[in-house]
Amino acid sequence: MTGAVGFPVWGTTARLLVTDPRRLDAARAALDAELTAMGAACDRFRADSELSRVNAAGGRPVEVSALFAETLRRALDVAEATGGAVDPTVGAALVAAGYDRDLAEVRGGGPAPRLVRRRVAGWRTVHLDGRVVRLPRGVLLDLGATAKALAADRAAERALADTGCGVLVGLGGDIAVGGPPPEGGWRIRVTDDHRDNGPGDAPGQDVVISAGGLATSSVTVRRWRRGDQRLHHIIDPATGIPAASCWRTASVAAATCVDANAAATAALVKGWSAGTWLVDQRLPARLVRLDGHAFALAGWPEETPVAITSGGRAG
Amino acid sequence: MQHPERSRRRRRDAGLNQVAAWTRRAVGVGIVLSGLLAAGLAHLLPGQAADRADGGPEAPVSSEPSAPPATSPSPDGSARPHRTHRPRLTPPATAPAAPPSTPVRRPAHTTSGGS
Repeated sequence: MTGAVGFPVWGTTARLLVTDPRRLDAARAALDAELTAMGAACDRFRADSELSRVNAAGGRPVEVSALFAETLRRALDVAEATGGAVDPTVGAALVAAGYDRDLAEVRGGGPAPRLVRRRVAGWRTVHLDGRVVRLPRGVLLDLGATAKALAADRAAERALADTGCGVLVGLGGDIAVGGPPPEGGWRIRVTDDHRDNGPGDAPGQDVVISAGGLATSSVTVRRWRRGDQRLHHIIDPATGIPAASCWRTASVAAATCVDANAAATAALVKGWSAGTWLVDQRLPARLVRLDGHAFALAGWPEETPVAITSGGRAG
Repeated sequence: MQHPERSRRRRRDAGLNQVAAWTRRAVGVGIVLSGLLAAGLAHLLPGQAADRADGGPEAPVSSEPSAPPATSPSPDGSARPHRTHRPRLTPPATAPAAPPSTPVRRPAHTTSGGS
């Protein structure tokens, strides 16, 4: 038996599950603390966030908090580990594509952007020295993906420390688990049907994990229309415009949610070469082609038809 | 009247001197051009141009009101050009598994690409 709670955060849904329902409040407090701290550090849409101050520094060095420095360091590590496919310097490209406000507002409409194919400044231009960050003038960071995944990792770890029971933290498509899992493991529905972000009946594949992270990135979720253009939030750093991926969704399991998120996003950007890359990295993955055909790679279980009973208990 | 052999030798020496002078000049120009080229390439190298362009002696602007002063460089040497190890994404301890076919439970959670 598990305890569960869900609530909206950062334009998506947070879900928290614990194997001991009596510890749900303590776990929720741990999650809230991490979300608050990460929001203050890395929320691109908050004028008072550290990220906004760094982006507005105009080339001057900025001293940042330990959490911001850790998030940026992880983002730079991700950029290097993915060969630059996931790059934190895509902030200006996202703004150019119209993603300059919360997604709900972006979807409200606006003028069609004039997209220019140009490589982004690149993660190597970011200078992080201890807790001092310096960006070249005009470069804007977006730490969204890494920050959310890291928040999930940190919250799971903190909730485990505070409760001692098994914990699952889900932030949008990013899942981190910690502690002893429920009997049989954490059962996860992997899908690219986004009408239901809870334990629902969305078509997809069920898998079981017991540790680490599982993340799904998709070009079909955070998307919006401008004029006759359909845009999404996965920017290809090589072109500075939304990635023209052959995959619509990538799900990856890794030792941490940050690594899983990085690999899933990189897979969308890398396109056809993602399969080989994921196998080389030994990262189990499920890639869904634009036509809906799913591929299981690097130890990801083959798909079998699933029939869901109604009224079952979560966990 | 000069001896023809001596005259020929003088012309040859003058020619050789001229060639030596040209060579020295060419080597000098080559050294200067190499230096300029190296400086230009260094400026184009990722992560360095920006450092130099904005590397004034300004004090860092704090983004948090009560942050302690910056300490020494991060333990992992996160100033990118000086890194010694290449980060990798770490595979999971165990790959996701297919759930048991019976009894069928509802999934605990859904991952659908909000990231």
